[in-house]
Amino acid sequence: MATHGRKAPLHNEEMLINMGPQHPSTHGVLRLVLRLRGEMIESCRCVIGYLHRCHEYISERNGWIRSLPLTDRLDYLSPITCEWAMALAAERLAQVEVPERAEWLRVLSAELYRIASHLVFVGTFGNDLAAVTMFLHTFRERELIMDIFEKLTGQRMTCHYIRVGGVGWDLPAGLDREIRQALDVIESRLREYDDLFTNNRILRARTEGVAEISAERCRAYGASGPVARASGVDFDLRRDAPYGVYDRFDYRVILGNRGDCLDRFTCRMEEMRQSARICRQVLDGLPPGEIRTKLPARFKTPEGVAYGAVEGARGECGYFAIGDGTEAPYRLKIRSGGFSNLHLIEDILVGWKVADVVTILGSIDIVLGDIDR
Amino acid sequence: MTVQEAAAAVQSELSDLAESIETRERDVLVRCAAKDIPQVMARLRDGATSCDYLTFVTAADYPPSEDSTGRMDLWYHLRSLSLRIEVLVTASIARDGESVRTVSDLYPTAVWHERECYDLLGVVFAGHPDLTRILLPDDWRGHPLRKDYTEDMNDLTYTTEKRWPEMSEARKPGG
Amino acid sequence: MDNRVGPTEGCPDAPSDERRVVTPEPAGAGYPYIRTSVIGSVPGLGGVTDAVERWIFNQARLRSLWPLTFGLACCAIEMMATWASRFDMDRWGVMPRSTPRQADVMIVAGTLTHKMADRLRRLYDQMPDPKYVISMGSCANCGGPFLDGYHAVRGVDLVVPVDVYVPGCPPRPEALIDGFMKLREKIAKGEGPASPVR
Repeated sequence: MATHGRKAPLHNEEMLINMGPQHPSTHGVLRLVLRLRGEMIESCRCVIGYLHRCHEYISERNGWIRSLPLTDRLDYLSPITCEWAMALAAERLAQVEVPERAEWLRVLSAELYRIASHLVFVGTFGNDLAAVTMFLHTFRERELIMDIFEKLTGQRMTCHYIRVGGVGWDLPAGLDREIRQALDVIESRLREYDDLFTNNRILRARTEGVAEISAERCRAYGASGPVARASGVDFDLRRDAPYGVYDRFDYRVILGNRGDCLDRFTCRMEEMRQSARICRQVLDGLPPGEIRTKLPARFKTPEGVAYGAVEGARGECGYFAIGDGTEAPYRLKIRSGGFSNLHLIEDILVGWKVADVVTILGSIDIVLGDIDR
Repeated sequence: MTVQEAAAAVQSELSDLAESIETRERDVLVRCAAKDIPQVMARLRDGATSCDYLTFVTAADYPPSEDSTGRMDLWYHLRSLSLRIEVLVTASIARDGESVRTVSDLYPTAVWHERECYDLLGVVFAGHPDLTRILLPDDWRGHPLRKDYTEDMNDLTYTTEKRWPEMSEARKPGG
Repeated sequence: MDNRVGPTEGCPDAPSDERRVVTPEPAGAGYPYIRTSVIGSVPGLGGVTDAVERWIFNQARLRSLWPLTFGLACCAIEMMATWASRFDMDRWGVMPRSTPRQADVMIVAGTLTHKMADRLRRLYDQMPDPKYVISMGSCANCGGPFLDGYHAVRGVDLVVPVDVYVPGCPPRPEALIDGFMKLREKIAKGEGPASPVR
């Protein structure tokens, strides 16, 4: 163009970019409306609800027992924690005792699925950063855990393992040896990932110092889970609001110091190792006994309120229930970690470039089923 | 901090505002008037309880019956990440026509939680920066977690002629 | 607004109205989009009959079904597992694409909500013809466990035509592979895509 001379002013008008709801890097059906000036993001607005599946509405109508399997579909990457949170709310409301062995099996299954969930995170985070190999590697290891769950529950993903008052099935014979072998393989592969990915220069360049979140901001926005811990918020429900038998195990709560994308990544890598440690301790000390409390044929919760919260793979997964003496909760509110973590995105994306959006979004590790409920 | 200590701290902070303070197994339950909600939350945040973390905001709908006119119960769950305590704050408002002051200036996370509460239950938060629907489409009618919500409030049939008229034009021969 | 592009476009003998005829022709006749004689116009290949030509097109088509990864919910994870190391869908030439304009088949993996339904339809309309749809999982088939709710569409087939239904909640990767095999059989038999929704 004739006017496009060397001294022409830089073209920097505002631009609106719509990302999603169908986009390979939004990890589901999330829509981001980005307002840009040049390459820089001036503001961001998240549009969610494309996967709103009325969990609360269905639970209030169908009752505790019939809606417990649905919780698997909430956070479908770590379904056990959602089951556990709902069972916990029902147990706290109705004062149900859980047998010792069941508590240990709950810890085992939750920690195994935490590893599976973080493996998916590492794979998709690599995929977002164009390291597609990571996706193929981590899904190979994830299959080991899927096999264990298939033998334990009959389902790969939506297992409905945790029931109100216990767990569904006992460990089949020989599965403990298999779990140990799988953990060995996964731990050796984690070292491989460190060589391949964590110490990769491209990964470092794209994540180090990107989107640092301060601890105050995490608290103000209600962030939880690895996102908050990477920023130095020293809070883990397993340790600080104990549920189950987590106080019997020896593990570390992993904290980051900068709160950038790399910290969020390495925190999860380290959490997998800690989860593997907990799994081994469970297998070493699994007490004998019952796996389920006998519930009345029509399980009812008394009047009152109860809140059961569990440290899920992506933050605090909590169920707040108001009982009214029937088989269903009068009101059931699902508090998901991802909902609050995603809210943070609207704030932290500002000032970063478009190319960083997938990195930052990937480091938050969202699951839309969990956010939209 | 144990629950008893937490209850004592809450008691000293809110002696003039709370209608009742109940010590429960894991948390402290505070009942107060809806108009005092922002003040209660501010004191819990800045006082000795240092509840700096808002876990969720929600509401429960109680439709009118023979012996009551119906109400909407608001529930706020607060945590102190440093003291490891939990506080539940609850207040009642009328189902329609009454609003409650937003707490999003105290806790930014409340922006989304209050939007969700408005979307699903129709609670109006006065002073909220952006009180729009968050989960459901903008043109949705009714608030589905209200107990009087019925399916026929929204027309959800799918036919090409109705939903995508431009497509049905294009599919006609020669169109 | 018609953005369908079939192989008939630009061919002088292609009946302009008929390419939008949606009812499949009698059995064995093939889908109207591939009726033009492309191979027959190549010098030296004039002896190829229409039937042979249709067969060649269909064989080519079924060997590289590129799906649009329309991951909505839990099923998307099983769909990803199907591309990944153990199940490796690339063996059948199934390569996930992220844009509808390069895709042959749409896998609707997960719960379709009313908020998402219009987007699904828009993406379907952006795919070039002939296009197929695999409905993966109970939610996509009929609403599944969320049928009781207010926000789940009771079956993807209310919005787009579906060729293959894969049951399961979520279906195992083997089930999705079987779904693709069924779709290949359907194309090999010369059947066209399912009729559009009215």
